[in-house]
Amino acid sequence: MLKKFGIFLFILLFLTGCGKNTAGSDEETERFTFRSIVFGCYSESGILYEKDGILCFVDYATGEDVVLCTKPNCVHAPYSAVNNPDPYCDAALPWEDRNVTMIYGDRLYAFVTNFDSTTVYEKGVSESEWKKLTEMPYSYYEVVSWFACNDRIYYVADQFARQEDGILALDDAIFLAYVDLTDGTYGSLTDMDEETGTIRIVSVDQQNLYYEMHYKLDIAVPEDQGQVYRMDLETLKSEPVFRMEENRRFVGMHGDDLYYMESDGLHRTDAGGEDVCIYQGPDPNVNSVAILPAASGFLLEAYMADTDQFRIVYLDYESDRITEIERPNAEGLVVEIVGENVLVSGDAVEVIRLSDFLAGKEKILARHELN
Amino acid sequence: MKRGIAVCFSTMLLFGMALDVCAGSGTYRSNEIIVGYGSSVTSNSGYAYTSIAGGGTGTASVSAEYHSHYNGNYKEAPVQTGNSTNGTAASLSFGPATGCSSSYINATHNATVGGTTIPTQTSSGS
Repeated sequence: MLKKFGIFLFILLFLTGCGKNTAGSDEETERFTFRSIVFGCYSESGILYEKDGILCFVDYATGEDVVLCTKPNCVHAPYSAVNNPDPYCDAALPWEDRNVTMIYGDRLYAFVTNFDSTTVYEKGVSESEWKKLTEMPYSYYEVVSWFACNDRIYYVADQFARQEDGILALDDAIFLAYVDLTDGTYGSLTDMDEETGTIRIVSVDQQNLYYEMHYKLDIAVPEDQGQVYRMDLETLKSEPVFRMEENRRFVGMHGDDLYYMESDGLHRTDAGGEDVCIYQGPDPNVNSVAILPAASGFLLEAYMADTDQFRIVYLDYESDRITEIERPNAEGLVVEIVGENVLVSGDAVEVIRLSDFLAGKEKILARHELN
Repeated sequence: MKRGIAVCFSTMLLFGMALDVCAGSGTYRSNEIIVGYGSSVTSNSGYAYTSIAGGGTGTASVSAEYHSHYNGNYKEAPVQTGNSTNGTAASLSFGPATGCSSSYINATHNATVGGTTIPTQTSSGS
């Protein structure tokens, strides 16, 4: 195991170190990661996940699934306040409080919350000690995606009120927040609006982060269920770009072109307001449709209720080409696209290069069993 | 630079195993839907969530009872109960329960996606 981890570590450091952005260089960082809760945090080099308090990593390059510990003779015993308060294992998370872990480049980050505040810890993947990066006076809304790019982590924060007896009040307030990983500064990016039910980060591109703010259900009406905003990653300023309606779904933006779905299919509206239906069907009101953004375009995966079949199409922004993808013998749903890889979830999560997937070749780079 | 993008999902157990009421978290998964749900506790706090995956639209809800343990016995009545119904995700947080040494949570999870309502799922943590 130690040898395998050494190989993994070398590859990880090689991959992430090469992509570091440097001042005055045209080279752009390859470092991008996000955490969802299928089972962990997806980076461009692999998947970080926690199993019974122990951090593990699935490496795309080698296909290995390893415990993030290099200690000799370690049995990887998890932390326990009573039985193992000072764990020997490097991969053991030394907390019982609710926490979220992420990998970004060659560093690990842990958000540990007691609901009133959240402390962010960090360490290198091969280090033993977690070091405190910062502490924020609010918690987080765990179920929504977390994104890291350009040395910042973006997430949905949660501010709890207290009843007189000190118990958490159930009417919490959520807002978009960030932490700067270079210096620990943090802040809120949206107001704590009492009309906001949920916030979901939709996607991130070169310059912008897109997020949905859903109204609480007692406020939402069919023709106005919330807004999609575009936030400039440099200025951190947001502007509304799309009003969510019962029959309209935001898909994504590329430059000034906005893509959305209506009952007749996929539409594109350009900066001049010209609206064109570029792909007919599926109706998102009848069929369950997943929208998976990628750097070069987006994937639509629709379960067609009438035929009991999936329809999968990919739109490439640059070529404006729509590819229909056949998966006659494949199992599982496409659940994520990260970097240049597609993640398909069935009995396991399987990683396939996006270009292969679009060409109908499902060569599996890495595989992680889910149970 | 090429960056991947993401949507929101949830964890660990696939449908079938997800009906285990002792599960702390799970995923309801049918042909067209993935809904993540779960609950967890610390010694004096609790948390429960339901989340629709894959950028799907719909309604997620969660309800839960949170109990604390003090001096050998769990209180009969829950310390706190709550319901949350929202857009694509709903969550509840409980506590802190003062003076307790441990706690547990029972949660039920529901969601409707693309006109389909999933069977009610349950989870618990202790």
